[in-house]
Parts: sequence; structure tokens; C-alpha cells
Amino acid sequence: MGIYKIMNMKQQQYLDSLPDYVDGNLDQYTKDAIDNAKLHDLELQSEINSIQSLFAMLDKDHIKKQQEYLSRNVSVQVIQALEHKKTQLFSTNQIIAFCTLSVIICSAILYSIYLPDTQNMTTVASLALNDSNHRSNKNTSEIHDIVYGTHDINQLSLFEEINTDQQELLDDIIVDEVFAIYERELTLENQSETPKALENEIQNVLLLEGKDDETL
Amino acid sequence: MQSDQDIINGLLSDTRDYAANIFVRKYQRFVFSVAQRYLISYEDACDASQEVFIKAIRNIGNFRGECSLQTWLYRIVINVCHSMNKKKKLRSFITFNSFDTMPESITDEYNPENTTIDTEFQQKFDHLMNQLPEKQRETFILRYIDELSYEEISQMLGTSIGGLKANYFQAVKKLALILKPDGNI
Repeated sequence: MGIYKIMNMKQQQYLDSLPDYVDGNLDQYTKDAIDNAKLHDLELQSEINSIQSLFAMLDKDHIKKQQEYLSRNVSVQVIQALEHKKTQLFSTNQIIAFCTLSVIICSAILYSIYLPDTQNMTTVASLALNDSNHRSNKNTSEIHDIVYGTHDINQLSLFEEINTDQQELLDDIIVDEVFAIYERELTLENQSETPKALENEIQNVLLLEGKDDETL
Repeated sequence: MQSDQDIINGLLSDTRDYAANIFVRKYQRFVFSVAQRYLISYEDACDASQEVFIKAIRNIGNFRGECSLQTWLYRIVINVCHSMNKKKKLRSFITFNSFDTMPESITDEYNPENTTIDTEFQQKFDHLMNQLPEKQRETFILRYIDELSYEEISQMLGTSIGGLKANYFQAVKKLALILKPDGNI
């Protein structure tokens, strides 16, 4: 059984070597073994014949020529592609780096030109600042009008939309005015003017803003 | 024909263009034929071959010499073909095109202006190869047509030498059986 198995294995190895035998790619030892075996084995002889006729039909030189012809453009394409890469002035990474650097330099130049400087203001910046001052002055005068009742009816809406800065400004004005009234009171006391009238005037100012004199 | 080592040295030196030319001419048939088996279209096979050589030339410094240059190229071809097939599948999925519309053989698409190519023979050969399972087909072509050693094929396909010999014999037997009735290709 063991010997039969070894024989079978050898036989299979010889069979697997048949294409190489027909193609002439076998070592001398195996070639001689097959040569000897085929003298007595008709089946092996027929197997070798069928492989020989297959290889005769599939002419490898003809197939190679076909493949060479079909692939003839590859070398030209590769050389052209390599040349193209070489002739490119900048690589993609270099272009990206160049663009980024340009943007940074331009931003720096623009920033240095339009930087708002009180000593050396540019036209745009000074116009913007003037506009802001104008609006601030306008608000102050409107608040004065409201405090003293000389306001237009439409100006009351300003009071409702008043912001924190304006509130502080209004408080300062009220404080100034109250102190001014007290000063006047002192002056009038000397001149024997009725204190009651002055007190009413202070109350009017405070009531207009919803404050009492304790908060002041 | 220069040796592989000369080509590698040339690609790494100042004579790169010359070495690249020799390198491509030496292996273009092999690379193209492998690409042709994986990608059906002639144009795709050309594009893949071009990409393979450009990748190989650029990365020749990474070639460690653990296998032959041809084996290294074979691996690059397989990788490039796989990625191209993936892109093709994605494209066809997006455009709802079926692969059925593709030509069955490279020669269907090939411009027949030339008379040098034996279109009929090529078509029959392609048809014959398509009758074989992939492993047997690769083994048969690499051994019979490209005349590579079993050691090299083993490194390329990752199969034992005994397995390759068996595959080769089975492929030959099958082809002989297919061709027997009419006796010609």
C-alpha cells in the first residue's frame, strides 16, 4: 500500500511535469524518466501528444508578438508623462504654498495701510469716527431736550430704546442738573427766594426719570 | 538588453531618462498583458500600464530586492488594476451603467486600422483563456507565455510550487480538451 502510494505520488508529479516536458523546460533526470515511461505507457503517450498539439496551436511567439504590438504605445505614453511632469514649473504643493504666502503678505499690507491711527488717520477711518461723534452729540442733545421737556413728541421713542451708555449719560446729566439746582437754591436762599419752588423743580426732574433724591 | 540591476542603478542616477526608457521597453509587454487580463478595455489597460511604470519609476528607491523586478512590477499592476476596477464599479454605480456594455475582449475595442494584429486569433485566444479559472489562467500564461520560473510565479501568486505545477497541468489538460473537437484555435 505504502509503495503503491509513493508510486502514485511520483506518477502525479510526472504528470504535472508533462507540460514542461513538452515545452522543453525539464531537468535531465525527470526528462529521462518520462522518456522511459512513455515507451511502455500508451496513456502517457496520448497525453503527451495532446499537449504537443495544443502547444503547436498556441504559438507562444505569435501571442507575444500580438501583445508587443498592442503594448507598443505604453513606452511613448510613459516617457511623455514623465516629460510632462518634469516641464511643469511648479508642483501643486508649491502653488498652494505660494498662494497662501501671497494672501498673508497682501493682508499685512492692507492692514498696515488701513490701520486706524489717531495720529495719522486715513480718510475712511476719520469719516467713521466723525460719524460716531456726531451721533453721540446728537443723542446728548436729544436727552437734554427730554429732560427739560423741550423735546419733540417723536423723540420719546429714543427714551424707550435707550442703551446702557446712553443711560449712564442721562444719569450724569440728571446729577449735574440736580446739583445745579441745589446751587441755585443756595444762591436763592441768600436772595430769600421760596425754597418750595426749587424743591418742586428737583422733584420734576427726578420723576421724569423715575428716580428719587436718595438714589442720587 | 540591460540587467535589472543596471536599470535600477540607472533609475537612481543621473541617467534616469535613459534607464526609464529601457525599463519600460523591457517590461511593457508583460505589464500590459497582465493589465489586459484584469481590465477588459484596451484604453484601461494602456492607462493602467502607464500608471504602473510611473509608480515604479518614482518608487524605485523603495525596491528592496527581495524579489525580482518583474515580480515587484506584477504586484504593482495587480494593485493598480484593483483600484481601477473599484473606481470603474463606483462610476458604473453612479451612472447606472452596466458592465454588460463593455467589450468582451480587448480586440473588440482595438482600432482595426492596423493589419499587423491578428484580431481573430487574439479573440479566440482571449475566449480560450476565459474558459479557465483565474488561478489556472494566470499560472498558464505566466509559465507558458511569459516563461517565468515556478519560484517567480510562486512569489507573484502566493501559491506553492507543487500547487502551481498541478494548476499548470490542469490548465493544459482543459485547454487540450476544449480544442480537441475542431483541432484549431
